[in-house]
Amino acid sequence: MTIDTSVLDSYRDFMEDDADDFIRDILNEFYSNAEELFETLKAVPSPAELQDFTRAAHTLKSTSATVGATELSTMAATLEAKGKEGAINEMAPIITALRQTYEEAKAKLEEIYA
Amino acid sequence: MKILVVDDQQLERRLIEKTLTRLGYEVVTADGGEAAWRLIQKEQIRFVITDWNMPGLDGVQLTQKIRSSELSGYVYVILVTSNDRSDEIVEGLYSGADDYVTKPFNPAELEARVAVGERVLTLEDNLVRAKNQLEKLAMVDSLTGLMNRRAIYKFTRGELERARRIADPISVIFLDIDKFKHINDTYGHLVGDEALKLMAQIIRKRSRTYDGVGRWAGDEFLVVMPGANQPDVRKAAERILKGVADTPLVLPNNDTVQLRASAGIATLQKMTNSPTLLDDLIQAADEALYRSKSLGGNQVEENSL
Repeated sequence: MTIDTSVLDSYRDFMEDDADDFIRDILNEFYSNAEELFETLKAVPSPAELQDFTRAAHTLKSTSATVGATELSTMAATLEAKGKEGAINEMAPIITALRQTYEEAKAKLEEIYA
Repeated sequence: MKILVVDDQQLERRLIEKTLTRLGYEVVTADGGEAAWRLIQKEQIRFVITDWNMPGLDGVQLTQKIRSSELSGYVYVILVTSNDRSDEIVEGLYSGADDYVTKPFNPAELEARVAVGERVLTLEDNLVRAKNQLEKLAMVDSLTGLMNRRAIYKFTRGELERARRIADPISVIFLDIDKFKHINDTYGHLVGDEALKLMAQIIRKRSRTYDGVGRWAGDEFLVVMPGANQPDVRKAAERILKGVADTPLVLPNNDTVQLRASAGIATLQKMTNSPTLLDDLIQAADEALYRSKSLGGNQVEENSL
């Protein structure tokens, strides 16, 4: 699991003394936001749920990129693409891997930015 | 400067908000396009940074709404797009956005783009200020090319003072087009405008170079003749009226409209020190004009002070 630290580090210079608090803030925001998103992203959606599902994947793609969790972001992007195509039947394996990837990313983030 | 940050995602909203606050800007936020639109109208926002992809009114739609509405000034819009939408940036810019920034963004880059926006808004401020000043200084009536009311009034005041100084007479002629409203109603405002332009030309041609000729209001014109007394001013007025009668207005379809005008003249017989002398003189000409119209138009009436 690799984290792209350049994103959050660019804030380090910018925020000066507040940098650590700021980054911690952002990360906590990210974690709680991700948990909310996983309420939607935990299972294969029905056709009626597809739009909300795709939007949630899009959001996760953005927010994880923001904290440098690029692998997670790429996976969420794939899920978003499948959602836009309506390829519901191809989602299952990715959904399973998604949660796992998130947990790994979170662990790594906490390690880097402790 | 107040900046509105629009994003349905709290994380990203806060990221931009914190960056901007750190840079010294005042930030207001909205969690969607509709909320943003309400704020823009209510608080006279001049700078908007909006995410593209939002439920409901999205960033592009919000931008289009801003551009197509009459707001009190220019609104600078930065669109925030995801990296993989870079091929649609052209669409975003065509929708009316001034700039875009892709996320995840570098705070230094955001700072630079906001600075660019500030520059544009400053340019707009300068432009508006210059335009206001220009309007204040304007001395020319844009339709006819004659002096506008402010200018002819000032001219008259100057000439009155000179007349007082060198003990010279001075006269004014008030003119207007007979049945002008009827012309407008029958042929339309564009023809009405052409009639005004023609009237201005006719008056100008039959005035001396040192006379003041101005458009007073609507279809009323004022001619100021320094050094002129009766019967010169009467002759001048009649010459103008004849010119109007001899010069029909030719329409685009080659039909003609016969114009007629009425004139009221006022001559200053006795110079006084009255502070209202200027207005009295103009008033006297106005009353004479009124008389000539009530007598049927196409004639000259006179008053003297």
